[in-house]
Amino acid sequence: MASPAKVTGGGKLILISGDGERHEVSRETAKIFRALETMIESLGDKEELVEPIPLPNVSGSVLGRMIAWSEHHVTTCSFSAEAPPSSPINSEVPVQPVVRPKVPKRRQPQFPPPDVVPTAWEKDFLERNREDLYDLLLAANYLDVKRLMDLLCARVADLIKGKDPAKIRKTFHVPEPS
Amino acid sequence: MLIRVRLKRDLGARTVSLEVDPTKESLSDLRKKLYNYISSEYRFSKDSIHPIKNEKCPLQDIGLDEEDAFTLCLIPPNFEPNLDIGDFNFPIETTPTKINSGTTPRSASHTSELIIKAVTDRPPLPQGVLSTSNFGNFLRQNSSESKVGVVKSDSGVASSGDCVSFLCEALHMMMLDSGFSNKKDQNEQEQLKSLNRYQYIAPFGPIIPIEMVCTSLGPNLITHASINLSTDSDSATQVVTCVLPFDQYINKSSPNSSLATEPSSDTGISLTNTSQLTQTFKDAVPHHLLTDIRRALKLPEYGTLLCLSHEVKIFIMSLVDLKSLISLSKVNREFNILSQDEYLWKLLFIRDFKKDVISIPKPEEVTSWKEKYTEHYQNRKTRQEYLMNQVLLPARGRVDIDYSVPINPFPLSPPLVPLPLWGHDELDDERVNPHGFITERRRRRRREGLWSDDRLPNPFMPGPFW
Repeated sequence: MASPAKVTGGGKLILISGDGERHEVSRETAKIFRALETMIESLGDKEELVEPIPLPNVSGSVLGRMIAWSEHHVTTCSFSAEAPPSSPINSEVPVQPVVRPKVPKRRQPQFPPPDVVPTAWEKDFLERNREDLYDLLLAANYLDVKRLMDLLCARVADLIKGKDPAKIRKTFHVPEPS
Repeated sequence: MLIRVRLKRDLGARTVSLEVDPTKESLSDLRKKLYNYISSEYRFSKDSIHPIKNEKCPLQDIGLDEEDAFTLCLIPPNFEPNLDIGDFNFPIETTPTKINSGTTPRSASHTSELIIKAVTDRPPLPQGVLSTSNFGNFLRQNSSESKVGVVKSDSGVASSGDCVSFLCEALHMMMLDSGFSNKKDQNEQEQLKSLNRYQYIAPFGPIIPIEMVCTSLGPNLITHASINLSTDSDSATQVVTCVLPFDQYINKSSPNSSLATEPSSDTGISLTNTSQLTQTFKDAVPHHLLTDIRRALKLPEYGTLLCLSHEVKIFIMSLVDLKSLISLSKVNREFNILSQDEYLWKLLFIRDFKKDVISIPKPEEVTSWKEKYTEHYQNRKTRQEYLMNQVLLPARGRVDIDYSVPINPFPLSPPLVPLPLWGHDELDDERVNPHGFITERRRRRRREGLWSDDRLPNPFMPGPFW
């Protein structure tokens, strides 16, 4: 019988990047990638997934960085969707969760995004990878990592702010319109 | 010893004196010194460089041959010399120069009346021993830790890193050129000198090698890069020349501190801001070339803002302010179309006017989000203007007159000016209203005959006491 910790985080997954690099990650780490989330949940209690998951749109080095990002966020748990642990006073009395009928929520666009203030680690991460901003942005969009997307988009918006068209063309290598 | 070299024509027709040690230095060293001097005197801008070979260049008059043609032709023929003749000496020596290589430079025959000292405001590069291994390691440590991509050179030296190793070797070459010695291994030095041709492979995206020829000219590193890409149907070549000013990035304050922990006694140069350096370099050369050549072959974009999907672009556009958005819409046809997008204006409306409305209008109620946004924007603007005009102004045209009775310094003594017996009114009194203003009350009383200017008492009026 597998312990609950093993069920959630024990199994390893193998991700294969577009240029054939293999990365081994734990399930919890891979859950940060929202694109893989449902697939991982559907695996259930299976110990290990033998078949590797191909990610053709992401190159190996970028995938390495993305994994570094998600590993950090798994350990800090600052942005995971889990509920906070209950306080020790109430822990003896089992609280029955109130079951409410599910009402489909009208989808509002998440705007304005919660003020994107990067933590120290995230700042460092962005600073290290600022040369390959667009590759990361593409990968984050593909793997659906919301927080990283917000930060990167804010970064690009910062580059655009306060510039005239000619300057924007120069910074982003946009060709002159014919 | 001091030798004098006459520069001709475009270089300002003047004589430069250079210190040469004939026992150690050869003619080529002299040339390099000259390059350094000239390049330090003249500032190059990126646009004024002409990378055309075999163009007749001014320095050929000094006795430099064609092997330097590439470097020399980088000096534009029509630049304006930035002369500093403040510090000059009259002739000191007239000894003919002799250099151990046996050849006398032609310039020695030119004699001139002025010897202008090489005056540079640039601080001299720190002298010391530079070893490749230290330097490369140092650069790699300080740069981003990602080790991706391969920089290959013709002679088989392969190393990792972004552009850093490439830059490191180029910089090393430059250091050797400008007088640094490498005591440890002469072979390595020779090897590095021959190594000025590199191949760079961009770490991301499709693999296209870029060939780079790198020359150092004083504080600047000049890179002449070319890329060649051929598809099934078409092929294209792009060439770019970039000047990288290196001395911005040399850490002048504490050149030895970063290497102090190493046991070797070598002194080295430390660079600051390496990530910015590689970023500038990448923007100037590889990214530029890659994007250009992909456009020339009409391949899909890679690694630019244009390669992102429309949703991401719209999300980015919804984060910038309105003024930047307008200028962004003028960049490109694609951005212009995107800036008319309804969803974008909805996002902007929610961002800017969420607090102004009670509830965000439902999509059925709104025909055009852009019009809605404009309407609210105008409203807000007029409201702000109205509030700005609500400043209270001070009342104008009002003269403050002191109507108060002057204080009597001797209250018990009889009044200084006797009061008239009748017809007296406190308000009409000259002392009370000393300026002779005709007040409304006086005017009324005069009309009624109760008061006159000469203040003669009316004999028919009953007095106050009888």
